[in-house]
Amino acid sequence: MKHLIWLPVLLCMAATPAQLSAQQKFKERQKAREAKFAQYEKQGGNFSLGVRSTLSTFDHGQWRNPGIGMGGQFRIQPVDRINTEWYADVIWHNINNKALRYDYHIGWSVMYYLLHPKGFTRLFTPYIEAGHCFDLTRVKINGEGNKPIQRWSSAVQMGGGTHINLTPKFDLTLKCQYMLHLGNEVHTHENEDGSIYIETHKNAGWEGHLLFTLSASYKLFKLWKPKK
Amino acid sequence: MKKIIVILCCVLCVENTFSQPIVKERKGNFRSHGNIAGGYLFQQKRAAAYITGDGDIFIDNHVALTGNLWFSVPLGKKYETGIKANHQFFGGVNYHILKQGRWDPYFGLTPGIGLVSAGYKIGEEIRRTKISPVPLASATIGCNYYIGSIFNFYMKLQGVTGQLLKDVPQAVPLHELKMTAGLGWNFKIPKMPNSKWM
Repeated sequence: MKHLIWLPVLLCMAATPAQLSAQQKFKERQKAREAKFAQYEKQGGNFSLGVRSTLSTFDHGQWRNPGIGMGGQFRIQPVDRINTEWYADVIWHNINNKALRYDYHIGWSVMYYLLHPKGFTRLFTPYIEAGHCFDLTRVKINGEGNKPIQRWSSAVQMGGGTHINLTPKFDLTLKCQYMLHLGNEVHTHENEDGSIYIETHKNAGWEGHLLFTLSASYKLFKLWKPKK
Repeated sequence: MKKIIVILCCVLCVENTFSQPIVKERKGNFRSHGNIAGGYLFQQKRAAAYITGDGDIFIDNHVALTGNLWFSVPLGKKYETGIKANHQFFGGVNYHILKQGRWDPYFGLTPGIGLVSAGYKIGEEIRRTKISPVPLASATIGCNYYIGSIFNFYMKLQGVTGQLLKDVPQAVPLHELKMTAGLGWNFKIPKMPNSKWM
């Protein structure tokens, strides 16, 4: 029975050469990959500036009251396959021609490029992204003397899209993301007689909207020189 | 007559100073125009008039940073309700399809802000809202034709969308197609020492 104590040690010793070989293979694969993309300029340190237009097609669980928005963004790219986007925008919804809702967002996203961007010489660079934002919602019923009701909340968003690289420095980007507002809720309800009122709920749960965004960005300069 | 000769000499001097025309290389050029312009408001089914001006700075042979202003001009007292003032300014990026040559077609994304006021009826009384800011989404297409190193003909169409809500009983849509065409001007921006951009 005593010799069983040595069993884990023996197993470890047997596994070590296999582990070493796997590590070596991984390193070799990584080197080969790096050599393959070495001809392209490293993208780390890129600073891009751009503008955006947004379409909100889906609001709080229903296909209703589509909203249109506009804003701007800048991007700071840490490495070839990862980029970060920092944005501010405003989206407005006409609620059955009886009220208006404004959503102001300020937030950030991390983007992961599914394909190596190859110095953005590809026409399409698809990516997935996730991020966070702070938002202010204001809802106002149409007419004189009606005060807007507003709430601050936080939101998370995730989605995907693609850059359309018209030049290596300039891209149009089309993306789709779902944004979940976490926190207090404010929305309108319509009475049977057609009149409308605003309802607020404290920490009522999750609500969100599906956003389609078209943006244009230009890589203005490099914030730092990437390692070769 | 002397004045005309002086002006002509000045123009020729400027031509010589900026000897590399926009036709050969777009990057580092500035293009601008000022003009009167028209628009069509889709929801209201009516025309609009503006005094407009814009400016493009080419930071690349294909890309220009752009900004434009539209100052609305009232078209008589025919419309007592609806949009009374609709001044707008936009900023964004234009992509110029051809990197050299006299023809210069382009498209761009140009969000902006409107300063809008509207008239509305309460009973028999007609009231007017204060001028208030409205966010606007907008896209542009256009074409320039450079006739020299200073002047160009241009044509531009700009689609705009937005909504005003400020005391009005119903939201006032600002969906509009603006158009302008005429004579613009352009020049090469003198190169800054150690400039990375130009």
